[in-house]
Amino acid sequence: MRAESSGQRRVTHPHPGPLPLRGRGGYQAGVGRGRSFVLPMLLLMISLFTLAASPARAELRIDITKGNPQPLPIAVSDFFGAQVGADIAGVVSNDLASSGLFAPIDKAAFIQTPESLQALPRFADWRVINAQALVTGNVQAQADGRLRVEFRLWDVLAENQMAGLALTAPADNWRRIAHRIADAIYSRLTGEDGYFDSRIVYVAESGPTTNRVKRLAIMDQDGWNHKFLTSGQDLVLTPRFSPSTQEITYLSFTGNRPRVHLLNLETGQQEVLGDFPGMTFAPRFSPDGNRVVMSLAKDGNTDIYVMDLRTRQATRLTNDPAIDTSPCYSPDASRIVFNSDRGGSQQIYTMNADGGNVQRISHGEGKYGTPVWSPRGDLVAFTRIAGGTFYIGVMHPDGSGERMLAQGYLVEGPTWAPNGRVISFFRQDSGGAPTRLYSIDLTGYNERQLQTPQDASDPAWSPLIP
Amino acid sequence: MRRAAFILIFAAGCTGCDHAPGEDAASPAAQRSAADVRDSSLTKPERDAVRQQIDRVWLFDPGMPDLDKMRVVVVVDLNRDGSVQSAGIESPPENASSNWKMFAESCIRAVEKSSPLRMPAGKPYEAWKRMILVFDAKEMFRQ
Repeated sequence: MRAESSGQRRVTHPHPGPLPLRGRGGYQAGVGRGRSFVLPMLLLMISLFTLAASPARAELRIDITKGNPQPLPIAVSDFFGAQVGADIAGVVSNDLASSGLFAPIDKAAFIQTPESLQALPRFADWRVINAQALVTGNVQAQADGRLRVEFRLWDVLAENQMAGLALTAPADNWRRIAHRIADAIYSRLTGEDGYFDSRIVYVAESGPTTNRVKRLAIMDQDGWNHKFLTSGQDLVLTPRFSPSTQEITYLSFTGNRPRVHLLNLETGQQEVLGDFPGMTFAPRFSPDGNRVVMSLAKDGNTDIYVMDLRTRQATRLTNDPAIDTSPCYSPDASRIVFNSDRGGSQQIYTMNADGGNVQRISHGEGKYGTPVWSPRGDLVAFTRIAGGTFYIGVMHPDGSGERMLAQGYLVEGPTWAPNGRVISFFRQDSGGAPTRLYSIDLTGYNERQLQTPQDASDPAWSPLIP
Repeated sequence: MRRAAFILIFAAGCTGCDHAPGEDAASPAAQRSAADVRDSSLTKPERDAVRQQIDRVWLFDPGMPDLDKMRVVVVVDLNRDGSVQSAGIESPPENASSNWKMFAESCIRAVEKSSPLRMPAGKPYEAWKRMILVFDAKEMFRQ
């Protein structure tokens, strides 16, 4: 997929005729109403100086301290030019809505048509339906069978273009084009990277409890393009994405013998990383994808080891009679978070990447497990069990700021979206209810179920697809 | 540093001051004028009424990193009908984070969305033609 955008940062007047596509970064220091709204900062400062210099003019100063944590109303018009244009707009709209930060407006309310939007938006028509942002676009089928899709993001109130992008890709890749566009919009309006062009690998479960079939499965983050990666003949556990490549590790039991597997999703190539004596748990990649950290049970003791994927040499990182499991690197690879019962109950600890400087970071009631370091580095997500209830929570890597995002009869296995704003996990209600995947954002208010064809557990979120 | 530069310009020329050339800012005439404006300034209930109009339409991202540290000052010039003539950010940090910029944009959008503002009918235009709006998210975490 090829993308084009320009880095122009500021436009005061939309101009007629063909418009240049503009990239992200349209931050404006000043906006005004009256068709010449953007005030150069210098003029603003001079006017402020004038104000300050005048003792005879009052300064009306008002503190605004009670905003609304509400999603931004956004209109996503069907992309003009081909039937798939409406499909692309639908995916973009669903992506934005799923983040909880945007409220797409019902298309039935739109006044201006996709065709007439090819000239310029009539901003008054969008203001009247309370849109604050507008997405327009067009689709062209090229002679080589590929699609060229252009989109523009407009600030309805300031009446200017905030972002633009042109993408060219094979026609059957239209969903990825839509996810890329949604990521560009998300990034421009939140200041952070998007996460829509990503996938989730998980364990699909079926059959009775006594003879459970567990298969590896993968899907787009919105549940589409689902496919199974293993046959179900062997039990699979703990799939984990490489943070830097489209590779996964997972644990497979063949005849009760655990093996750590590596699977390249682009080539389909699969290899056994190691056939370790004793029990192996929770293999996870280092941020550069060159090492795998995991726990191994040897001689009745479970410790954490790291394996270099090139030399296949394993190095022991912890050496404690307690059970140390669930290791996960910090994004800069300098630290590892893991859980251990060395203090009497299962708690979360951090250590240097070489195993030194171990520090306990969880101190609440109950047990803590499955810690996962955020891709942004600012938080550690975990599962907590206290008073018979499971929780998904986050805390800073020093243990401060602990807060719970989700709770239930069984909630477990957090995994971070690539931008560190959303967590996926699995949930099962009491009474043998189905096990399902969910996502929740860091506010804890936007919890959504991810659709899977079967019971689902142990999700792992991919990085953005290259 | 920027503010200091402006103060220096003021001391040198005072271009644009309201008082007459040669008239000192602290002169009796200037003091009388300032007192007149104080009398016509908005009361607390009047300021609250304006505040509510902007609070109501200010949408922000509650998951924004460092939201509790965000503070943006917006200078707003109003027309006589209460519509927003212009709005701009005062003294944006030179190395503002992308999150700060998005927060600032949400403040500008709120000002735009609130236009036209219903201003107190009994108060002269001079009393409210320019507003300094301080958007302070950390206050929300104290409430």
